[in-house]
Amino acid sequence: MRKSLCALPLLLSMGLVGCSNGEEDGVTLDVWAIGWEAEQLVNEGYIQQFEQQHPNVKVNLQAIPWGNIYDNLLTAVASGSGPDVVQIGTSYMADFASTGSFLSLDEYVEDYPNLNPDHFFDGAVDSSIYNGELVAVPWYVETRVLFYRTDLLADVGFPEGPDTWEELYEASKALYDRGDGLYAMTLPENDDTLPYIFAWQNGVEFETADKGVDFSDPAFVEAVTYYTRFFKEDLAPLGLGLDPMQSFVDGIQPMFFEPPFRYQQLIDNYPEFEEWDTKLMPSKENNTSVIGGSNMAIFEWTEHPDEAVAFLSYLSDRQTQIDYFKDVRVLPPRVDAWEDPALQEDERLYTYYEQLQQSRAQPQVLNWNRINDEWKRSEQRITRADYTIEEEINDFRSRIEPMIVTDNGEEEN
Amino acid sequence: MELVRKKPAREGKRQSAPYIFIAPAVLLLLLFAVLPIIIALTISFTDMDLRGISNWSAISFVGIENYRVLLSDPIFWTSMYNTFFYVIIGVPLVIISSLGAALLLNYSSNKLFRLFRVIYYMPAITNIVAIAVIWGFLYNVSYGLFNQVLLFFNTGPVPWLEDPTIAKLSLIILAVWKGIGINMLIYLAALQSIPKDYYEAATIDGASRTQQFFKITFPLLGFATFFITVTTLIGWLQFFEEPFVMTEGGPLDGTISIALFIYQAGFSYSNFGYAAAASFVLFVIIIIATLIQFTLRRKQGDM
Repeated sequence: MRKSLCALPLLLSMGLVGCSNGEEDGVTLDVWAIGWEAEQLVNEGYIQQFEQQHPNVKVNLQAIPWGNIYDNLLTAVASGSGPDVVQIGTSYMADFASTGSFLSLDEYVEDYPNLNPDHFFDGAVDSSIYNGELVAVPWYVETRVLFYRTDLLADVGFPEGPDTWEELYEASKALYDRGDGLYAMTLPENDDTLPYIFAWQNGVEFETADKGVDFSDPAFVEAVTYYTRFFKEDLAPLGLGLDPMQSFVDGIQPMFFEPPFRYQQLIDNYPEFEEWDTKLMPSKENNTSVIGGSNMAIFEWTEHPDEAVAFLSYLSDRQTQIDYFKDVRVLPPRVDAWEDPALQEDERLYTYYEQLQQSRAQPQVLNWNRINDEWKRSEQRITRADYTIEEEINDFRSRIEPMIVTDNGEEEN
Repeated sequence: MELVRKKPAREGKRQSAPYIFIAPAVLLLLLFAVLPIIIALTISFTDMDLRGISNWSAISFVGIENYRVLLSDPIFWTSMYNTFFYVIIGVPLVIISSLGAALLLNYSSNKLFRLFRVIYYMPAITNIVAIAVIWGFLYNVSYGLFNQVLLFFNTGPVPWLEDPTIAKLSLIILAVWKGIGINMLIYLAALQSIPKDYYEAATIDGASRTQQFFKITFPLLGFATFFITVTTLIGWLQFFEEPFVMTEGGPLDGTISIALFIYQAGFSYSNFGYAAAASFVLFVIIIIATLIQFTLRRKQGDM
């Protein structure tokens, strides 16, 4: 308790401290970026290159671990002072954009065409626009595709992998019947994306026009029934603590839905292992997947908006994005970057490009983080505690009702 | 405080001196302990959230609404239940194990025993995240050491962190292991301050080892036990790190504690008013639990 009691006033008092970086001869841009990828911006010379192009600007980049970024953003927003440029996970966008802390980029698009939303995948743009205002630019993207073992799937009659929901279920049954201790796939429990993906594929629309969410569609129940069936029938084991990649390579769980970092992990850790491929998500009404990743935004209190925008423009430049992919292996959100041969040479990676065109952002809804946690709670009750799906979804809806805050943007100033 | 009251009674001039001496400490206490509590209490009557924190005009007073919602929140009651589960099993376990370890290590002070003091103390100073990673592996259902050992004895795999009740117990085991070290040191110090003459006299009178323990050692450890009970109880009422890093409160909310509930409300959902209300409830519980112990202690002293 000591922690929580003290932290609140601490947050408040942060406002008194404030930090300014006024320099006589040049401009210093403070940048918060996240994780290992951020360090590569320095290590691979991107920051240096930007500074060469803009001799009067010095970039002071701070790499913040993923686990801390939310708290850091919170303190920045609470105190109204922080860095000039910030990298922000797409799932946090709505909450922070609603505080009005991000600089609107609309007026800069003309002078800096790199910021133009037309360059990026539609799904990636969704999270960078709030109440019709452009408040961020996509920095890198990720999405889920189906990984499958070509050899094992061929054994059960799906050499090209399952294409539809029915085929996925049939293939799973057949894989499960191979024997004891063998399963069909890794489905992450407590996942806050896959159930939504299945719901989208079943035609469900959660988002309402006024930035609320609505889970009342009977197709949602159907999607959840389909999804949880894999747990209930033990096709995807629960609570065994199996390592997804190891059990994929061992053939214990020959399918999973994974973001691009897993592609890189497989290539790096098992260079000899070739019996696998990637594939678009199996479809029902569509084969939508979720788009995630990070955006770059500028805090509205920055004293150097022009330099900050120039930095964003540099980062979202086509060539920067291609180079960054080559060095760091994260996927560029710019559609035209994918025309580069470097991104096309591996077909298994190119699947991500096709899937990115069929991907959408998580609902840009206030309190989404919390609604997600409530969903995870419900999911556990369905898969582990035998609550019936209809009842649990009703209960879920009644629990999240008070959290749905609609915001039609009228109060923006 | 008592020292202050006794001295100045005689001379009026000196009366201010003691206050000047304690002033820095009191000021710091007011600033960093009392003031935050008052602020938290105030916040607990508001609907402060992420938008409120950046724009104070968006905060409004909601009276006792937060407390009302809290009392009808099933997750809060689950976290209360879990916390008391942790306290009721964890606190006695820590006291008994650390007393046991201290007694054993008190037998001798040769190098081996000193080495073991260090070994027992080690978990207390190890980073919780490192511990969580290691214990996460130990508890893993398929690859974990514990289940591999059980497999060797042909007993089925135990879902260490996968069943709500077993997960609670797993976290208690981990926290007891981590909590023994520091309490053991306190007990060791107390044990070594007991004069050896008492035992010699008792041996001459023909008292057995068991009698010596219950008639001499344990009563003379009374104050150490009291101190350890108070601090351990407060620590376990604030049980946070273990569920936070190991299970995030799951499965099925089986390991969520009040402190974790507060953390989630405040820092995951930015629901600061609600979190402050919950933290105030925890604050009151801790005050009551501590007062009860002081009262019991005083009664014991009267006897």
